[in-house]
Amino acid sequence: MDNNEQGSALIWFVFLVALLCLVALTLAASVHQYLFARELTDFSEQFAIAIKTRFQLTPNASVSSLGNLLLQEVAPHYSFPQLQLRQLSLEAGETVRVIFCANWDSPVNAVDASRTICVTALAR
Amino acid sequence: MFLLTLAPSFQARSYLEESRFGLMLLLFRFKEGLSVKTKSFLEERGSALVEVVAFAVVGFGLVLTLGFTLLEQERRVIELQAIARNSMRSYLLHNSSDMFQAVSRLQSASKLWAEERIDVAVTCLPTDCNLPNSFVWLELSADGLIAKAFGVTSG
Repeated sequence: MDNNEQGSALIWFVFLVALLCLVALTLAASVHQYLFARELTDFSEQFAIAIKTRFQLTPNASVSSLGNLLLQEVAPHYSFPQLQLRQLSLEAGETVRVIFCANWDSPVNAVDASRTICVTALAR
Repeated sequence: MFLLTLAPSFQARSYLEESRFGLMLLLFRFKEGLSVKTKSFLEERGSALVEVVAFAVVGFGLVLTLGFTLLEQERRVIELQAIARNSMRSYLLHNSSDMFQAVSRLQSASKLWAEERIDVAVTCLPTDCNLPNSFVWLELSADGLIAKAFGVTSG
């Protein structure tokens, strides 16, 4: 076995720089994902409160019809890819439960990541 | 007379020879120096210390700068969203209050946005925001960032 350890450290340097670039891009993608999830949470909570308010003002209307109408008003203002209203229900006649799902795609091409993020919001 | 005419030419020849010798010496020294430099360059096997320092300065410097910039930007986005969301809640809970006042109050309480200019856009459907069951849309934009909030007035 050759015990000669002579050689240039340039290869390691290039490798480590590439690794650092990947770490930096992953960091950027993770921050983007966190902000995306946070915006989806805000959206879901506001949606649930709005549905609850409308339901209080028009108790005879069904929650699902109110939800569909509101979603048509609100969704064009946001840019959530493949936004889905997974669940909209009224629990115990008072609590509005909303589950929204949206697809998150990495903004960096080098980090090929995609994930479906679902958020639950309640309003009473 | 002959001696007098020869004397300068002899002197000139000696100068010429001297300068030629000097030039050759210079060339020789230059070649020698070059060969020494080339030799030392070829024998250079690289110092790991240089790579480590360069890596530490360039690599970690870039990553740290990027990390801090990203976190700062993240804080700004989150705080702007909080201003929009809380302004909307404040407006919906106290329907008599003004949305612009609510935004201004929360902006002045914010550490990151107190000194910045925030553009506020409020849209209501129907147009009268004071009517019950009207849809209120708030959009804050500042420094290239946009925060949105919406709600329904309870009357």
